[in-house]
Amino acid sequence: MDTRGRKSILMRVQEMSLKWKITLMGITIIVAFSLIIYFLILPYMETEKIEERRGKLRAVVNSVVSHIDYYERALRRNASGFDPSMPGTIEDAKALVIRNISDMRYDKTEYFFILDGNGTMIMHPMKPELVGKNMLDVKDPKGVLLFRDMVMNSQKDGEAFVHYIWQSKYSPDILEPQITYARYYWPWDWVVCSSLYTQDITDAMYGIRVRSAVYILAAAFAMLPVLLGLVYLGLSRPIGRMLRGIQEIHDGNLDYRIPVLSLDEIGYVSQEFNQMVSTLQQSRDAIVRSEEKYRQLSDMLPDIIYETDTDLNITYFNKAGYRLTGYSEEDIQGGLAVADLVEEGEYRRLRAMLDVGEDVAIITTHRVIRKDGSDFHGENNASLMREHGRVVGLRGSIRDVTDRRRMEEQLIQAQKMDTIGTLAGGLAHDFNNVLGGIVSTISIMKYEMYKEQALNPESLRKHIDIMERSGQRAVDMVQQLLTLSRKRDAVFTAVDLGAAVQSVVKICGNTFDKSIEIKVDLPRERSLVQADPTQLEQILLNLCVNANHAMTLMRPEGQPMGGILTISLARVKSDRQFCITHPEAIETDYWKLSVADTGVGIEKHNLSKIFIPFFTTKDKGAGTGLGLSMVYTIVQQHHGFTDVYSEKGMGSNFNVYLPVFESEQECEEAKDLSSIPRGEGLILVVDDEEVMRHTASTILGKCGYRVITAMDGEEGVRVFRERHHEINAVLLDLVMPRKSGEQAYLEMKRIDPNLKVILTSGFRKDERVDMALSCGINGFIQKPYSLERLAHAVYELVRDTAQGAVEDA
Amino acid sequence: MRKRITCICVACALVLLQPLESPGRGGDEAVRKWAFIFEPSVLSHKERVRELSWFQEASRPLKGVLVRSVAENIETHYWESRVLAKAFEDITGIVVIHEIIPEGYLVPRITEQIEQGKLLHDIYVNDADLIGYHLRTRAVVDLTEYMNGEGRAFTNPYLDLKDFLNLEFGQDYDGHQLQLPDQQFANLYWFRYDWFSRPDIKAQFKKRYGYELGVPVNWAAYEDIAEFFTTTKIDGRKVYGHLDYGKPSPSLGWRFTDAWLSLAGVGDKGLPNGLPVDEWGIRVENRIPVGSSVTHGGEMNGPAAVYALTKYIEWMRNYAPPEALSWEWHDAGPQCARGDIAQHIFQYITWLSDMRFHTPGSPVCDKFGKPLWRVAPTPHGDYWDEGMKLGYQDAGCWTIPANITGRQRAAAWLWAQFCVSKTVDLKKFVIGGTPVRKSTIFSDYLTRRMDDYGGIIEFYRSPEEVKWTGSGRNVPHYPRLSVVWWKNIARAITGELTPQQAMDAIARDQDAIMGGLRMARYSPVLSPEKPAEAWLSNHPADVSPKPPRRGGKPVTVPYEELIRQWKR
Repeated sequence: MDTRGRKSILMRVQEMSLKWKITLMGITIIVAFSLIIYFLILPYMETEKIEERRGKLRAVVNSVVSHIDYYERALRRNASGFDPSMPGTIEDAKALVIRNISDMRYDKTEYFFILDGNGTMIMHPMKPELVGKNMLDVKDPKGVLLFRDMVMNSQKDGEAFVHYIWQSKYSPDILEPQITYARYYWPWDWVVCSSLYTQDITDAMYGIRVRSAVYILAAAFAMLPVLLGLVYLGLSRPIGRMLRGIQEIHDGNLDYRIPVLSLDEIGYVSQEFNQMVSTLQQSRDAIVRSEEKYRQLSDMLPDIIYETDTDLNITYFNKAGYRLTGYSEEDIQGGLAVADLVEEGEYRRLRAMLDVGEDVAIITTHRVIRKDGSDFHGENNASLMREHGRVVGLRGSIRDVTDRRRMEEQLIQAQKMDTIGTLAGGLAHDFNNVLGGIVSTISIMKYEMYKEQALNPESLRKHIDIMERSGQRAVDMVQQLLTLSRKRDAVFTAVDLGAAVQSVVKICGNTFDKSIEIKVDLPRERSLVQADPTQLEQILLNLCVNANHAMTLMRPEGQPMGGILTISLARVKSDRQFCITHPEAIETDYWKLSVADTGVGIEKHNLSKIFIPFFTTKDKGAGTGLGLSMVYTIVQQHHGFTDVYSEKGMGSNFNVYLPVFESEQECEEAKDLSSIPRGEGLILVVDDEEVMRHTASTILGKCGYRVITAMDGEEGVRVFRERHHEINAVLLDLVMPRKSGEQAYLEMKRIDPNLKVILTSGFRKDERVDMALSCGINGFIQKPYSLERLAHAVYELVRDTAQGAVEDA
Repeated sequence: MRKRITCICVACALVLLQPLESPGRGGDEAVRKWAFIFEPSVLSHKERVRELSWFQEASRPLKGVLVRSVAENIETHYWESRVLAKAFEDITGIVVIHEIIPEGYLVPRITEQIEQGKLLHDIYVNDADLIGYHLRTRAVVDLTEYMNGEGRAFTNPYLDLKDFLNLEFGQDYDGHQLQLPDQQFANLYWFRYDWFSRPDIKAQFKKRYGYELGVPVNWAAYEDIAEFFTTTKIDGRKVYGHLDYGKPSPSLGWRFTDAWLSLAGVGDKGLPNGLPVDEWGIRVENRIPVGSSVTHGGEMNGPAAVYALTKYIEWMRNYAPPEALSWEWHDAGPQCARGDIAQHIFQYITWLSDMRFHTPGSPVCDKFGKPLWRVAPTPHGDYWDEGMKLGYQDAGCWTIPANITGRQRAAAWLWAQFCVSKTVDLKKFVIGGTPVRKSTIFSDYLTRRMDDYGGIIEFYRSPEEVKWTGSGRNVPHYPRLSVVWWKNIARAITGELTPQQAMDAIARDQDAIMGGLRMARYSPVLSPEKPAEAWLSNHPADVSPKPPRRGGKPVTVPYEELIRQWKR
């Protein structure tokens, strides 16, 4: 209850206006001042007065004691002789002194009295009847044994002050406080005393107290209205003006100035305030101008400049932002999430960046989805926005790199084809050998047939075996070339780096000079990275081809060709120390792919240039100067980095570091064929290429489907019309003679609106495909397709059809 | 209200008319009263009551006995006479007449009582200078034997002899206590610390003499400082660099017998007095004095003694106030307090209890009454060697003539013990400035007030204090021998005799007296005379009698360093 009361009072005081606070302070000061006067100063004055009186008593008594001492000293000196002017004995001296002292007066009426050490009165000029009487047991009305105190305390300490009540010298009926000073003079065993009344002091102090009270109260009452007036004029009004000024500023009116009407502190504060407002105004104008300038600069940029809050909602776009994404200011005001603009992976990265609160200096390239659903490739450079050390969002720029990326891809493809061209010589040689085996065997067989020689079954089987092996090898070689030369969009997926190495090693084994010995050192564990498989192989191939050239073509004349190409793979942990020695690394695990040769090596002064596009040390025509440059570019796109060690004449060692991808996901090459889904039903395959018709029929047949085919769009429509009740799905080529896939689909749709179609094409998914898909085609699969992709696509389509049928039923 | 006042007045009147009774006569009440009055004390009130009660109990068989004691005229003994005697009577019923007379009268009286068997006093406060006389006459009570025998019942169980300062001053060669110290005082160097600390004065001194102004360690420095102050006005006022007295009187002899010669370097090494030659120049062999002239192997008229007298006369003429020649001991005692004396080589500290040394307004005190002066070790002369006594101090000791016996002896012994009891000793020191107990010197009360005593407390607390000793056991008849000194010295002051002649005369007279003494034991027997040169040259230079020496360099030391040494 008390606590609440105190709080309440405190709160009331806090809520008081300054005027009342100062008034309260003034009253408090007056009260405190009065209390100090009453309880400290007046008592102190009284004490001082009494002390002064004590000092006076001590002085006069000590004077008398000095008088006594004079005779005592005289007596001592006289012990050895006789001075007739001095008393001869101590008794004579005492008698003389008593006579002298009894007549002594000060302040007209004050006198001295003398006791002995036992308390017997020796001399009292005013009460001679007391002489000879022992006074020790005499008490004052309050019971104070005054004489005992005088006698005993003065003997103990040499002197004593005794306070007591005694009859007034004016009337025995009046009792007044009195003070006696007693000095013990031990040589004569005398207690010499004198007393003074202190009533006059008490009376004087009482008078002062009363007068002080009246004066203080009168002054307080007189001062209060004056104080209030002064506070109002001197404080309340000026502070009111200041408050109004502050309110104006608060409302944004920086043109307002407080009137300065005085030169006191408030006037000074008002001046300073006005000065501060002027400065603030200038600062605000400067900020507005600066913001305008940077907004214009930002809007002039071709890149998107953006800011987000901590929930990853866009809070700012420059003009490029609106232009490139198609969103408007209203969209941002309505709440535009970054998740609507970027792919999930990028969103997670930005989210993690915000959550961790650390800037990660990585520029990422990702798809940016426009408002209309289309996208472009953006290179995003994001950093954390902080205010007072606290992360408040992201700020960054996104550059549209679609064109650049396309050019890079074209460049990569061109360089790849260049590499393939390099390999072609070796392949052609081997291919001739293969063809030689087939052609020679056929000619042997033909010869034997012409000779009408009966081909015994054993001999025939051998010839066919040779041709089959040769043919199979040719198929392998062509397959490898096709794999390498395929052109498609970079698709990042989990790739087993070891498998990629083995694939490339196979190509190298077929194409490199036989003087090259290839050694491979791979870990037993799977070495997954997130990469585009084709680009990964391109890196490997480029490095291997470079190594091959260093050990063959680049050998100086006269030096034997050949050497050892070593490809190894190892997992390295990137800790802080590793990051110091490899500035491009971050603290994660890397797969280190090393391609080492024992070739001619690289001059030191060339080492820093080898990743520059079109830089080459090979003879004209032997290299484009793009191989290592591509390696560098592709590795960068895979968030990896490279380093190289080389010594002239000893060989080179290229290391490629790619981040370890920890995933349970199966990599593309490692998929288990047994997991291919099987289905049933009738599938119509429409393709103008017989090979593709055959391939698709074979794959779908293996997956449990029944298959019928049509060689173009027109035939396809016809077959569908005839058997559409049986047909569960159609695999439809896009580009065909006589009737395109799109036209065929529209006709089939009219026959059966529930028709399920997968479009297929050798083209990448582009506008034509998009247009066809917009007609209602269920899916698209790009040629060439693998068994599993086709199997999955058809399985999903047929299953949906079956479920739809069930649901319809 | 008026009624009430009237009642109070009637009550007061009734009280005043009651038969008045003298307090303190009733036994326990007297003990309580005086236990209350005896403050400050090293004992608590309860302990004081216990000790005073013992006196009350022990004295019961002696109630009514009159004790006649006598002591010299210093403040301590006046206080005993006027206060303690009354307290003693209140508590024990034994009446004491404690007569105070000059020391010059006291010595003849005890001599008279001892040698003539008169009953003049029951007990004397007699300086331990006479211990050589008492142990040879065997005419005073052996207190050790008395305490262990006949006087056991009258010996204070709280006496605590180990608590006494310099108890050995009153012991014979065998350690028997013949005299019990009652008060003691030392002779120390006194100087104006405020002047010695002033940078302007120090700078002037250093400029003139080439070394720092400080406490003089030797006479050469003392002489420089004396000359400096006597010839330099301090704050425009004439001052003196030395103080002494020279009126022909018995006290002039004390000026020399109180170890002045030892300060010059007369005598051999060894404490409390040099052996075989002491500071009186007396050679002692197997406790038997064999002569004081150089021809007897003594040193009374050797070069060191002549040097001592020469310097005394020179300094008094050159550096002391002119009126000093007409002063006696008690005239000179408090003169330093007059404010124009810079240093005093030979200050009896008993005078420093005078209020003039402790009162605000005194020229030697600050405005709070704290002393501007300090005491320090006495500087020594050219013939002084390390290991010799360094100064003089004496104890006034309770001495009971052997002819006081029975109840008188017991009552006198109780009175003596009362005057040195722990109950009263601290208060007695505060009055008279003459300590007798270690518990007093080391009391918390004095620790809190050390500043008031100008270094005296530090001196008594210092282990160095033992180097200040009395005249010692070798002087066979102090009363007769001391007389020959002042008369011859007075003739030297007037120029009637040269210092050598004066010392020769003293040596001759002293030997003559000693040759004629027939004492109960260890009576002097003069040795055969040999030529002085034979004594002066046939031994190392630091063995008495010492051959002539050249003066050393003046040495001074900062006072603070001295205090540090004393506190060590």
